[in-house]
Amino acid sequence: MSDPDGHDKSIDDPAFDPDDVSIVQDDDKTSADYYFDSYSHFGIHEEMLKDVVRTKTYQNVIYQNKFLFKNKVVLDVGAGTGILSLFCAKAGAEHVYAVECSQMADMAKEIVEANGYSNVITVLKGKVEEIELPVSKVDIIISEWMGYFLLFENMLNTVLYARDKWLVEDGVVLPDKTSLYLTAIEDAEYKDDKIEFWNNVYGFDMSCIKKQALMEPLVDTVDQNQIVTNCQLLKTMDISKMAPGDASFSAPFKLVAERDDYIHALVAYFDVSFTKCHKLTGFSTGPRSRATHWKQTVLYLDDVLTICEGETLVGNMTVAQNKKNPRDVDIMLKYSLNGRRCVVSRIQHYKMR
Amino acid sequence: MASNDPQYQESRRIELMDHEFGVEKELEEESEDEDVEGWDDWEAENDDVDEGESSDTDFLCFFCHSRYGSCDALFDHCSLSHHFDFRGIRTELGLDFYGAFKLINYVRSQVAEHRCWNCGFACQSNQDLQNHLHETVNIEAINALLDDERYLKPFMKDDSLLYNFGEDEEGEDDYAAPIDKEELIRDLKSYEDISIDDDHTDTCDKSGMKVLSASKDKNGVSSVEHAGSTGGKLKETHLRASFPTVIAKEIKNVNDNYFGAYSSFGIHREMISDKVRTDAYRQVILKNPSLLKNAVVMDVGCGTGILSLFAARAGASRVIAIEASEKMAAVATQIAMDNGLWQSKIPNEGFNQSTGVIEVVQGMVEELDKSLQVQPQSVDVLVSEWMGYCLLYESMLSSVLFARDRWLKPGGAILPDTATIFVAGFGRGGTSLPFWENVYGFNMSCIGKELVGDAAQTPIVDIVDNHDIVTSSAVLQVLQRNASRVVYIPLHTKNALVTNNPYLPGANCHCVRKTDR
Repeated sequence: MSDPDGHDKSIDDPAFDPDDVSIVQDDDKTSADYYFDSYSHFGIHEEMLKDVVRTKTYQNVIYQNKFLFKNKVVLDVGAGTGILSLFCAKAGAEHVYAVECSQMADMAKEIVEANGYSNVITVLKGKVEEIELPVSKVDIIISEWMGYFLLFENMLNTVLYARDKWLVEDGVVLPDKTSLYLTAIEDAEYKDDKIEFWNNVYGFDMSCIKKQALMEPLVDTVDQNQIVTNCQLLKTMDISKMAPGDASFSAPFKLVAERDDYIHALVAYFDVSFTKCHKLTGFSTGPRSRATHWKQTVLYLDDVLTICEGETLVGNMTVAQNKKNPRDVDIMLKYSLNGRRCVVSRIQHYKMR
Repeated sequence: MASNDPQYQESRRIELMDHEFGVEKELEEESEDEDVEGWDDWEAENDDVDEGESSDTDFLCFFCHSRYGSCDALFDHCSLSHHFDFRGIRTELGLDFYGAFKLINYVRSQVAEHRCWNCGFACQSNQDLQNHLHETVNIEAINALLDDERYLKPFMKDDSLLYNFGEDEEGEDDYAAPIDKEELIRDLKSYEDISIDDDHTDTCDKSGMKVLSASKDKNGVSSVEHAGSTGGKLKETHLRASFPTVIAKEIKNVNDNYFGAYSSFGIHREMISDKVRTDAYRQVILKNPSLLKNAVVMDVGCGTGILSLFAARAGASRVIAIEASEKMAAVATQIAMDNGLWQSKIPNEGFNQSTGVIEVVQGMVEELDKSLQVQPQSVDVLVSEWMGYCLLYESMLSSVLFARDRWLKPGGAILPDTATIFVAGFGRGGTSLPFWENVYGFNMSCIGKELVGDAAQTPIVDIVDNHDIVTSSAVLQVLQRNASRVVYIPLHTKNALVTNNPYLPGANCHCVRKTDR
């Protein structure tokens, strides 16, 4: 109610000038920036920080293995708010270089100062592929680079680049092991909601969209009760040793039904391990584990499979980074079922954008 | 066409048409002779034409009475005997399907008057005309002559040439094939250095922005080809000083990215599933027959076309659905077709019988003058779901106002016509301030401060819990249908808000809109 300084101008105020654009400066963001510089948008960081499975695991890895960090130089790839760097500094690292390419880097700098770690942590704003490090080698590379479906956003390549450029011989990469898994689920209700939805929209046939909608993998939480088959390991990667090209792969799978049911979709998820810890530490993003912000990746099948207990769904999954846009992932899925009640064979393509 | 001598019948009809055409345009509608079939009859009878039947695929030459079994043969003949190279002219003038269609009708109409289609010289008879015909001169002048709606109507009854000349070319009207975005991007890349990204809400990839800033540093002249997110219609090569070019590039890039973002189906599903939103539009459209029945409707930013579908169902006589995103325009067309509601652009197009009323036009509403076969101020109802976050985010309102001023009849209806922005203050609990103060034992409160301080410039879209609202609500701005301009107003809260909590970080809700100058 009160406005002692008279700062609030109302539109009735004669001093008010509708053409006065001084409030908005030239370097302010437009909606274009808002749409595209979203890593600078704090909400994402809040979500990731609030993901207890993720953040607490990293915290445990670092605080419970101080021997790894004593007198060591650390490189934090894609530092964001700088939380991992702060953990490392507190655990006794000699020095930490935190690299972040978005506007968040400015915030990270302020945070480091506010917490009194300016002499231990150096924040570098820029792309890993373009910055200069004040040192020629680091002892440890730490990063939280995993995207949906593990490989979406393809930050893995950035970590490998940093590893090849700056990591000492026998240096430590955290995390160093990651695996991708596949399983099959019954998902009639949700598929109805997301895909069959287009068949009848307020009485109109919009099914032509269905085909395209099917090609977009869905990031969502799967209930473990929906799982119909075993979970198959598709691929394991050793980040301390692998080559960038290894992130694209083709792997066969054999999923065996554990009960009579229908299969509407395949589900992909990953786990991550830090093998250099005193005690093996890690976490999984699977439907049987505690929820994370990664959820799971759902790939709806064109067909609805009727599968009997003991029958096998075989196939092959090929994953590659999109040629035009390396941050996007192209998935090709071949599957076939030769069962008592259902015989099907198909190839489907998916694009994660 | 039942006659013993088709040729005689044909030439007689042409002579009679000649009589009509010899007079001023106003008299075109009068049918002076009962025997002469007017346009209405033609439209009705064309239903009998079956594209597939071989008896219809018999093509009459433009100039003489020769008939040919194939378009190619006909065109070869005209090229050889009458100095009329249809295919060459089409290529030279860059005529699309409709342009070529008009060319055929134009030439036929000129021949009917014994007039040279090229130089306009009037001959005494058909034979004289054939003797007169010469090598093409000054072909560009023809373009202006072709720019006439009347040539969209078949001049000659049952002119099978009109439905077959385009046979060799693949699916010009085939909206079913989704636009190959990658190919489009590849093509565009070859014109400009700018990489056109879409759907990049989750990445740190700033390559688009980076290239822009690089070009800003260039001095002197740079060349730009404005390849079409507006369907390739703007193809010009300019040599200009770099600064205005860069601005244009930036605007185009923003537009590409903006429209690109609507290409993904998730957002459309979200909007359609928003029952509050979609049900409201549905109610308004379906429950107001007095407004919609037989109306000409324009849907600005149609997306999947759901509002247009409602309008068609409500009895509109014509629905013009405008969508700038290429992919969505193709999808909207397919959906209209699948629901039997699509209206092809050419009346009575033989091979695509449709009884629908919806026509989908791809492009920005501000740039549609060339392609739209609509008289200014002739639309009865303008419908649009244009509202963005905080109402005015995305600035689509200006497009709607443009459409209103250009296409809407005086007294026409706009749906919706009133929009109100409210403001209320929310307390600390509605912010993430408490969270940032202690993150795993670290003080990240500078982020919280940044968030709050920046709230004026980067509004956050979120759901605020009712119990976090700590003041009354006040009306901030009401937009009526006759808003004359969209104005830059820093909307400070008036004194009307009453608070029970002295801490009000959320009260400074700034919405800024652009002034039209």
